[in-house]
Amino acid sequence: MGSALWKDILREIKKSLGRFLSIMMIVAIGVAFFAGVKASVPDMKHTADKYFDDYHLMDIRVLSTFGLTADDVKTIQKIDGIEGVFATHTQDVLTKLDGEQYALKVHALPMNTEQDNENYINRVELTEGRLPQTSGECVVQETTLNRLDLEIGDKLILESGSEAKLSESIKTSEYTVVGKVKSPYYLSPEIGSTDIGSGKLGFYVMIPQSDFVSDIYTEINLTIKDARDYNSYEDAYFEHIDTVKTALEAIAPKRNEIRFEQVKQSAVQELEKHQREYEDGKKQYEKEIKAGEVKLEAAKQELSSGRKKLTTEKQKTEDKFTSYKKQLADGKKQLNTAKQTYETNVKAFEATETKLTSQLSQMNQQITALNRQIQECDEQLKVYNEQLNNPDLSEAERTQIKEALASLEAGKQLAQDSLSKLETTKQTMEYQLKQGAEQLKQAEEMLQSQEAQLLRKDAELKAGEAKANKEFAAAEAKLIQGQREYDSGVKELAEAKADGQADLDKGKEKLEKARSDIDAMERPKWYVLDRKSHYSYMDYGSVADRMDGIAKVFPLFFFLVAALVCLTTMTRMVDEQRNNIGTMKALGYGKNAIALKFILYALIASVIGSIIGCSLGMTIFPTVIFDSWNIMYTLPSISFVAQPVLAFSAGAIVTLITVAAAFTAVYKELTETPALLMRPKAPKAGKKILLEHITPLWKRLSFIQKVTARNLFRYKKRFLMTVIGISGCSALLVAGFGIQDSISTVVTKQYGEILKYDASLQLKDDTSTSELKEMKKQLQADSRIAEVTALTMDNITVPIDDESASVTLITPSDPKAMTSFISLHARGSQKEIALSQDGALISEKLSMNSGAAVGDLLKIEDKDGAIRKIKVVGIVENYIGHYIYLSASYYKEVFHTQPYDNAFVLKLKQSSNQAEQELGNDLMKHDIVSSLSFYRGAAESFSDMISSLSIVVVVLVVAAGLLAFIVLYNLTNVNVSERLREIATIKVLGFYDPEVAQYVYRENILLTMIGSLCGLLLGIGLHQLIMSLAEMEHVMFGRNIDLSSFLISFGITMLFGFIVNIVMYRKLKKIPMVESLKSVE
Amino acid sequence: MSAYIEFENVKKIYQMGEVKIEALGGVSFTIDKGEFVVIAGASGAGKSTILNILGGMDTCSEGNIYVDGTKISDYTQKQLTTYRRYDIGFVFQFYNLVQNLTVKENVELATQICKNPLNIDETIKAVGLGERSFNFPAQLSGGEQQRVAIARALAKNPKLLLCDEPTGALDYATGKQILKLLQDTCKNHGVSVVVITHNLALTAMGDKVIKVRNGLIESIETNENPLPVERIEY
Repeated sequence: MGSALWKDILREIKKSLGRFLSIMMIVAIGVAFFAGVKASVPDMKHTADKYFDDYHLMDIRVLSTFGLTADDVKTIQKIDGIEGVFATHTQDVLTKLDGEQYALKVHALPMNTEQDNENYINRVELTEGRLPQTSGECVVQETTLNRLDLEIGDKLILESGSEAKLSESIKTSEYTVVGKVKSPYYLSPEIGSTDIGSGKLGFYVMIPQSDFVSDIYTEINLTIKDARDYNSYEDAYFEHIDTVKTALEAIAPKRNEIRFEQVKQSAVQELEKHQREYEDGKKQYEKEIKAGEVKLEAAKQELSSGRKKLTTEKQKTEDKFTSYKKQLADGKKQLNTAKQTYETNVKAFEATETKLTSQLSQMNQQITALNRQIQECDEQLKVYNEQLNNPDLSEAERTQIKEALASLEAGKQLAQDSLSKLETTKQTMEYQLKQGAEQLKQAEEMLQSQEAQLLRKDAELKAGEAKANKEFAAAEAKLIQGQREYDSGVKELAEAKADGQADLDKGKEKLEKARSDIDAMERPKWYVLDRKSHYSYMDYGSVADRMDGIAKVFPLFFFLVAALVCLTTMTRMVDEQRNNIGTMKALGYGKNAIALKFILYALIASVIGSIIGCSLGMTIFPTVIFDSWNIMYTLPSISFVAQPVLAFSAGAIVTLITVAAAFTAVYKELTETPALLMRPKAPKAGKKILLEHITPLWKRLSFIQKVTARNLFRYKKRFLMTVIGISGCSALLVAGFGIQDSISTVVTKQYGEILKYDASLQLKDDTSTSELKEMKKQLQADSRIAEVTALTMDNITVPIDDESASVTLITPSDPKAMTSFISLHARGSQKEIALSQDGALISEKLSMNSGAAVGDLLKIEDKDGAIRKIKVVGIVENYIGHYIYLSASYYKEVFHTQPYDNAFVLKLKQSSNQAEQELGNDLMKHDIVSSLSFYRGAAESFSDMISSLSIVVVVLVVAAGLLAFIVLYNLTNVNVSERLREIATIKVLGFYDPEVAQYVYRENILLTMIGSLCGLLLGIGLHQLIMSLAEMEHVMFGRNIDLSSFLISFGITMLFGFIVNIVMYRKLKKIPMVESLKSVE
Repeated sequence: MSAYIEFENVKKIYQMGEVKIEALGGVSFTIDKGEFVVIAGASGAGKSTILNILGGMDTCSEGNIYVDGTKISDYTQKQLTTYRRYDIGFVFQFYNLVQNLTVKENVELATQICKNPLNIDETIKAVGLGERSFNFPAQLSGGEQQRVAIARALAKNPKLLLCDEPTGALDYATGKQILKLLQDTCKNHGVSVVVITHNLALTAMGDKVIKVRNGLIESIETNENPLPVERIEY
């Protein structure tokens, strides 16, 4: 190949730098995406493996269902190929921080933490402070995610969280934080689940190995010689460690047999002890019930005798009063008779009196008359005496007078006699009268006194009666009170009996279970676990693999666009060079030599683009991806691994594509004769498009619209390129914004719409029914708590493949009350789903992970490790964590035991940090409370965690922008240069610049719009894909994309288009009319 | 009264890097309304430059140009566009039809932006393409395509019809038909027509013949009795 050809190529590149760059750029972007995303997977794994190696993460972990003994350790140490052995303890404990309870994992650090100690496995990276040196010192997990703000010097008070005392396993319960560490053992914030406290481990601490009391190890960690030479994410590593693993599995049965005998013996002893305790408890219970019953019986008898006595007493009193009343009535009757007699006497007396009085007055008259007679006699006498004295008086006369005097005196005597007689009579009569009156008076007085007596007696009777009635009422009231007391006593006894019986039943069930457990006690089992069973290793590995999934989708897209861009660009270039090709051909250059120019042009662009793409892509993308993920993981910074094969193949593929595109473009031309080539290419003939046959519609279009429509369909390749490219752009945007939408709703939905309670309170296992009732009463009375309901909340696990998911199992005792705390509904329809008698409701992510659909059976493992099967009858919306909801009756069917309420969920009146802390402190004071969690905190920390994913959004938007620019720039560039004559023509015809731009851009805009709309649909799919790949095991992201995100994505895509159009506008303006029209193409 | 169109000492100098190329070295001429002018000259003589400047596709470096009393040599780009839009009709050697538009649409492309367009269908009929108005350019012969180009220029109802080698790509007979069409148009519509050709044989048909050589006017002849196209042989 001559130097002229080279020169030609170089000049060509210089002349058409824009075109060259655009091919180069699209290649660079395609390669960067492909190689970059693809490379991040090995880079991530390499970084993780390096971290594991640097900190001697165990290669194999031996666990036993019954723990491991020192003998086991010795036996293991004898196996060939083992580098280090670290037999250690782990334990889950509880602690309280700021009133909130956390479950945490306690690990042991060996006493010798020198770097050359091969037995120092699962080393830690000290980020602050120092390692614990003496008992009572600990280091805590360094984490940015938790809201824990533990500082060096803080104290942790540990509690066992179970019935066993902490001191049985750990020497001291008070630990001082002396440092912060990171460990390759825990890459993710997910420490795991536990059966104490809230069921979720919050963080880990490490204490000196010597602080563990027990001589039974919970696990033995091993490293294997030379294993660090391998990448543990590769098969070769597992082949290497397999020898040791097999050897360990081989010694397991014998070790197990020995351990089994030990454990069974102690279990039997334990059971016997519990049996005795139960019997004692039962006796005590029976005794108490008996005593209560006896007491009640006595009370009952006392009551009835009291009632009888009252009745008799009443009767007696009544009789007495009756006779009293009768006497009184008799008295009254007598009195009345006496009164009548008296009245009669009075009347008789009065008659007599009247008679006597008249007689008296007659007598008085007579007396008066007599007195007068006497007086007259006296006067006569006087006169006579005077006359007698008269000496002149004859005797005769004197005699006469004397005689008269004598008669007179006789008369007087007579009168006087009568008078005295009368007087006597009168006196007698008066006496008689007086006597009578006196007698009457006496009689009256007697009557009055009798009446008074009667009245008194009457009053007395009445008072007596009232008093007696009052006494009776009091006695009756007392009896009623007694009855009431007796009744409540009966009720209380019944309750106590029921409660006691329930507790006893519970105890008995436990005992029976323990017994059957012992009977069914399986032989201990060794688990020889390699890293494939290590959560962090697997979790991070799967994250990396998810990226691989994304790496498969994205580059395809970019490659497709790159191919299309190259094809259109090269076709255009060949068209422009037609004359040149003809000349070369005429000069005698061979097809290959001519084609070489174009192929070389594409090749050079591709190779340079590939180099740029690889070098930038393979550093930028892995770093961004690694760093994004590392917000959730605690790996040291990325270490790249050389991936020449990937770089080369990515470059090769894309180069091949562009060269193929160039060859395709030039091939057609090369088959033509030079003469033909030197003449202008017949312009592509206009054609009627389908739309024109729909006359009514076509007629309605304006002239410009017709032109646009026809142009759109005229250049199909460009149409395709633009639609694919632009749809890719808006799809990326939709996915990007959609991710934000979906993630941001998770928290509000989970903690606002689904779980509507603010806190949950877990009670200890041994809480009695009455304690539970009492607790509920207290909670209801608490002014800070708005609502409360009790339910059964168990932490169980669901085995899924090799791993197991921790699940919260909820059984409400009052399903109706629960609805205001937990909303069970389907995601799409938002329709309520009721608890069923014959199946369970499971949360959506659990259904997805386990593959259990409605009607399927889901295997669950309860706290004691028993495997049960539950039937799925409904799937409920849920985003964070896994839940299974059972009705009480179905619970019984599954577990063969009643559900006992062991938790409360609370709604608070006020939810602030301080209010929660205060409430937390108060509630944790109750002995029966085993854990308390507030959900506001959970919601916040979850928000923090997922907000980090917004980096993905930025990456997607940038990628979208690049894509849009390249595609649109290319499109417009080709469009303009290909239609140079047409544009020049319309310019000559007098189209103003904006009109010319419109003439060209209308298509662009329409294509951009079509592409955008396609992209919106595509974006939904892409979004779904990314979400499912990015999702964590226990979290389900929403699948929703807000309308606004569609609008924004559409808007941004159009904006990108608009910007490209502005850039191209200058070029349009500069098109020279004259040259364009004259030149023959 | 000044002429309808007047070129006054018009110069056009192209700056090609360090080199200055004088395409027109001071050209002056006038054209009257309704005149059929033939500008003839060899390749590179500057006749196209004259046409381009006259048509508002290019600007002059020096001198004054008046069209219908307006000095267009001072026009801005935008004014020139307006000038092209309303006053000028162009016919090119290579027709420059929009391939993706039918005959009628190609004409429409021009008429839809001007003020008093002629009736499209009549114009197409007038150039003898009434039957082909729904064909695409690719379906037409060269002569037919050039007729479309003329129809497109005419339909705009321009003051001035400028034709750059309109027969250059056509065979003899077709070329003659086209020239006839142009001459008839000039006569019937009273439009000034300027035709550029390197074929001196055509000069006989012009009312005025301007010969150009090396960027200068060689001669301006007024032809009292221009020949009808039919009688011209070349």
